[in-house]
Amino acid sequence: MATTEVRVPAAAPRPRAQRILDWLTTTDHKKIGIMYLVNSFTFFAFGGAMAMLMRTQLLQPNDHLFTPAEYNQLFTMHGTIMIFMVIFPLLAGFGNYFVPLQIGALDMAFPRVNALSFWLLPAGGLVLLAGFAVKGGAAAAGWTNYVPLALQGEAGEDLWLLGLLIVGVSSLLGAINFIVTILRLRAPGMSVRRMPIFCWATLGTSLLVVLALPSFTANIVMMLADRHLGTTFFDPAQGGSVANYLNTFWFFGHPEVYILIMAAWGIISEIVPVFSGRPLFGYNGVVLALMLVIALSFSVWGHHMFTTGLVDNSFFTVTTELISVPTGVLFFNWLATMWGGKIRFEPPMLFALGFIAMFVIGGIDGVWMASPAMDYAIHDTYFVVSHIHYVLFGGTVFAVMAAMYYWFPKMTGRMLDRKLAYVHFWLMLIGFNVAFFPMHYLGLDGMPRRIAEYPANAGWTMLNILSSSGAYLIAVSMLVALANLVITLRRPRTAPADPWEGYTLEWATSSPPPPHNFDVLPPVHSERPVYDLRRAAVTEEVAGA
Amino acid sequence: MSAVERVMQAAEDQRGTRAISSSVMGMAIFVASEAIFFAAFFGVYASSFASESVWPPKQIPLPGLVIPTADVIVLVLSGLFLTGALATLRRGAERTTVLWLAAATAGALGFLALLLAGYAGVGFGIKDGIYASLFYVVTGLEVAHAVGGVVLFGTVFVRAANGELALRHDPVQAAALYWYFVIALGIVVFLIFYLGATL
Ligand code: HEM
Ligand SMILES: [Cu+2]
Repeated sequence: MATTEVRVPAAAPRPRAQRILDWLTTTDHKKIGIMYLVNSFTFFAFGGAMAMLMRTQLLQPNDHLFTPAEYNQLFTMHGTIMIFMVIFPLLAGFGNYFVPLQIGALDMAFPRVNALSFWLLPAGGLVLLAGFAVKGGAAAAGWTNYVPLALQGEAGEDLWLLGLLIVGVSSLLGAINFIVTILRLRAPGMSVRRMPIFCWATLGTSLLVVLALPSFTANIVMMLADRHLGTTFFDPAQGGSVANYLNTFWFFGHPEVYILIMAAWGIISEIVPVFSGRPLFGYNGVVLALMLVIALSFSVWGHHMFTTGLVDNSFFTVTTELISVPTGVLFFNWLATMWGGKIRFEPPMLFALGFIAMFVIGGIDGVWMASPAMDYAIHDTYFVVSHIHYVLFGGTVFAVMAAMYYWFPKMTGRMLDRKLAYVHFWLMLIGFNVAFFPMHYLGLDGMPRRIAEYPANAGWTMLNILSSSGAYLIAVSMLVALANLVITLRRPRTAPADPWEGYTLEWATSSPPPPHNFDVLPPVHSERPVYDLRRAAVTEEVAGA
Repeated sequence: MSAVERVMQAAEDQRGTRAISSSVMGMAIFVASEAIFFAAFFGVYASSFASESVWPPKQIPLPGLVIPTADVIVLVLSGLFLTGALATLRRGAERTTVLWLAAATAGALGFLALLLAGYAGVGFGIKDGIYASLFYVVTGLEVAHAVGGVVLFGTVFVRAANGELALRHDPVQAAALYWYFVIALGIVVFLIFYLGATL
């Protein structure tokens, strides 16, 4: 069967205003996916700038670049933006672009709802950021927004709550759209057992959003009511309880961390097989592991409350250690996929390998903290900061970069520059470890998280200097990536339909795909339809010769 | 239609009309998330109930039972009318469907009105402790959901007036699913906040 490249005939150039209007009013999942990515990377720059300011403050003891009150705003907004405006929407952006392509659909199930989900996102983000402009400044109670701090906050706190309500609606609509799309719009032959793991992971993420996010929405509603209507949900003096806060937040909060990683696992499960020249080891096992993680993730929230005395620590230790098992299964499946394969160290694969290595460190940190005896010592110290960055930056951000290098040619018709990609990778890997590994020691040594200053005689100065230098190195690596992007976008569109010898349906259409996605939809007989197509072509050639 | 669109259409036709439609499926997922949303409040209710020695605490007077009971009856009736609408729709009797729907919408409006009227007989304010907090916020959300239901029914009427019901049934089915959820919610709220608190 033909895998001929069908190029969309170049239409007559349209006036600029018209082209912009096309983007603003589009319901095409591919354009919406790209807008998700642009929006999230823009917020990534904001969140990153805040991180640089924080690391500059911590560069030396007793620094006064910012007052403690300003510093509180910085880490609150940094965490909030990175989690809600960057990581999750980045994964959703790739999902938007590639899930319909991978299952052979023409678009998402509800294209107009899809556009709405997107536009709510920058709206919510701007409401969040507006906090910096109001009296009293932005929210300052941390991304976990703990009471009673959150009850005392000023207007910035309300903007935080409102912004996240809007973002929440966006996520919920998006999740419903993904689930219906995946369950109903698969191409003929694309049974669930042949679905790319990235689609499984997006389905899993969406289920988590539907089942966990409403608890956070309820939490926000109660917070707003306590702040403005005089209710007492979170006020122990008036019959409420801090436990009401903690339970509704963390019932969402722990599944949320899987919302932030599961699609990244999906990305890695796509890239590792392609660049190892082998099928994914244990497809069924991987799917089962994802499902187990979803189920278990609702039973572990108490591990964020070990030190509060409110929960049964033994119960939550057991569930938390249990959830590391399916996570470990994924890890061994990736290793087994590479085992004996002919590995091609292209940029997407490098970032995928970076992901695997860093995520293991973050996961082992997690298993440590899941022991209450350990956690009493390291809770609310820099150890936790190290853990979350090893899983979220070492994990998800590395996976996002892998996805960027992998799918950029498909989205734009242009290959990103390889040499710059390697520079980006090594700077990011080294910078990341220099920035975050020392935090383990700082945490074990008792340095609390979320402090604006530390005394000179604490013995933490050297490690903090190291950490800040690593942070600057990460910033440099991002500038290299940005340069690569700008340079590449000025080059002509020369990327072939299938530059990596991919496996899944997005590689069966042109780069970039036509508005209706496919001119010819190849038959689907396995979870690697495009690989099958290549094999068939080779066999035909051999037979013909 | 491109070749691909034809293939997709063929696949869609094969699944047949008995498969549930995208909008019904989407609504079902939405309703699941709504259930979790309210479960968070009921969880707070349960843990507060368990930790207080007297319920409701602060010796506040309980809300009266008459209007809320009437309210639940009206709500359940609207559900029965809706079930009638779905049955006639299946038989292809669109005109009768619209009548049943009108009855269901009237029921929804009655529910909303009685819900609001019920507040007049409540002898405590929103600031009177945890029971009052839960009472006002949860019933307030109920009001919002009732309004949502009326709006949804309104859009269905517009579609019916355009003759769309003959072509597709899923807008009615999706709206019905939503309203069944509101009915279930109304019953649970009645049991917990009115009846349960009286016991
Ligand atoms: C092997 C799996 C994992 C285990 C056993 C684990 C365990 C834990 C524990 C016990 C804590 C609480 C530490 C404390 O506050 O004292 C924690 C915090 C946290 N974890 Fe994990 N974790 C795992 C994976 C992940 C993943 C995959 C992510 C995100 C992608 C993640 C993100 C976070 C975040 C953001 C926090 C900090 C919450 C805060 O700000 O207080 N974790 N983890
Ligand atoms: Cu957790």
